[in-house]
Amino acid sequence: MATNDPSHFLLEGLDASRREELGDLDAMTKRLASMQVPEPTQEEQSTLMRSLAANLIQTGRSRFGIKGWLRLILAQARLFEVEFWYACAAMMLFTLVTGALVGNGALSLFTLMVSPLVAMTGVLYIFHRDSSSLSALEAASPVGAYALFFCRSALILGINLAALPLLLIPGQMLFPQLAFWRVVVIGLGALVGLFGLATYTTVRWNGLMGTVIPLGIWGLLVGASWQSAVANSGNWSLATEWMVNTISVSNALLIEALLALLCGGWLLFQAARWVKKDIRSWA
Amino acid sequence: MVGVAQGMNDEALFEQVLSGNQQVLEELVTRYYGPLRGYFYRLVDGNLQDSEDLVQETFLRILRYKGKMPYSFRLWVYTLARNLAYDRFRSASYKHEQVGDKTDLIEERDEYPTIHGVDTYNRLPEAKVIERVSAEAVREELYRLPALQREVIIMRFYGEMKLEEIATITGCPLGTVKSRLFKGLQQYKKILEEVENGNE
Repeated sequence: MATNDPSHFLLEGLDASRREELGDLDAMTKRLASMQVPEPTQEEQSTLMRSLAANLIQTGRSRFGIKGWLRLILAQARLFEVEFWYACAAMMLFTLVTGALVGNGALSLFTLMVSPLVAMTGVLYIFHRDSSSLSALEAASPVGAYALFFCRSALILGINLAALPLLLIPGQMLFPQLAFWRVVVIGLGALVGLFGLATYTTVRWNGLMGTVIPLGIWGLLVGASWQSAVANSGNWSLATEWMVNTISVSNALLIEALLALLCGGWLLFQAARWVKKDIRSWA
Repeated sequence: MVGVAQGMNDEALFEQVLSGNQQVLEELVTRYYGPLRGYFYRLVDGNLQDSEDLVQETFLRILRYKGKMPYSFRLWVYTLARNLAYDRFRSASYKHEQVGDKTDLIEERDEYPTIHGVDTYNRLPEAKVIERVSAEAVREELYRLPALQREVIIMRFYGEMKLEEIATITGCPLGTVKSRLFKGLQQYKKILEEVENGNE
């Protein structure tokens, strides 16, 4: 840096023609150099330090208790607008009607296949609608991305778990042979497995990967079981019953669900570690 | 710790500050208080109190930051400062003040900054006499430039920043920065000529 030749430094990087056009800038640089701002005094610096120190202590005390977590969850839950709840209820009703009441196997398989897509679209709708403002808020917020990540994960899983009995109770009534605990384990396996995969891929790479990879795997699983479902459904009307029976007796399915549960938990842990060192909270 | 802090680079200091280290914060304040105050003073409105407020706000944002560690703290902090300056430009109170009288002069002090390796205070005795009046006049002249051109000149001349660094801070292509610098200098030269002609 040409510190002793300010006019040279000022022009450095400009084209030769522009430098020529501007000509001699010595008078200008002398003029500019005469505009001085006094350096802060020791007293001013001490005053600033005192006001900042109070904030430094607050920053260090960023851990918050159960009340703080509950408040954060409540604040995040407010992001869910009424349309989201209507969409959830409509989806659940649709699943029940097509799967259990109408008994159309193909339709229930289709519902099964698209349900993660619908859920994901809902989540993206909520957290991406005003993503630039959300990002700005996150950056300025004393609550870090790590806390937001845990909060939102807990919220999504909590909503899904809370909705599970709404599906299980009518299912149990319609199919008494259904082993309740198996359904819970299998449901949780699929839920946590896919949720963990979607979260990790989104946090690690981007939203596109976080959508394509879990949905691709889900599609492959549904596609692989499609033939069995069709073979066992006869006239396309008994697939639901076959699925219920399979869930109730298949140990292989149970083990697979447990593995998916463990993998999903591990992926969530890895995603959380990634979030800790990054700015994103998968919003 | 203070001695250790002096040997640390800005990024390492920032990391320590975020973990709540007050002594390290003091070093960061020592490094950036003066340059930031000068930046705000020249860019925003030449009011020392406003500049102080903006400096404080900048440091508060630094302390509250929860994101990824910036690659260059200096560039990051000037980007932050620039955003705050533009928020100030847009504020109603700023617009209101521009209508009123602005005669805030720089108070006389013992310490003055070194610009481009030259101690600007201890220059020729006659220059010292007219210094306060001159600073105000330069400020008025600079304010006749569009803000985007003015900021490039300020960052370049007083901040001694490279054009690439200015491009990063302003989020503009390098060509745009060069163009703003050229137009700003061209315009400022005309303003100086007008001033000179007016004085004759």
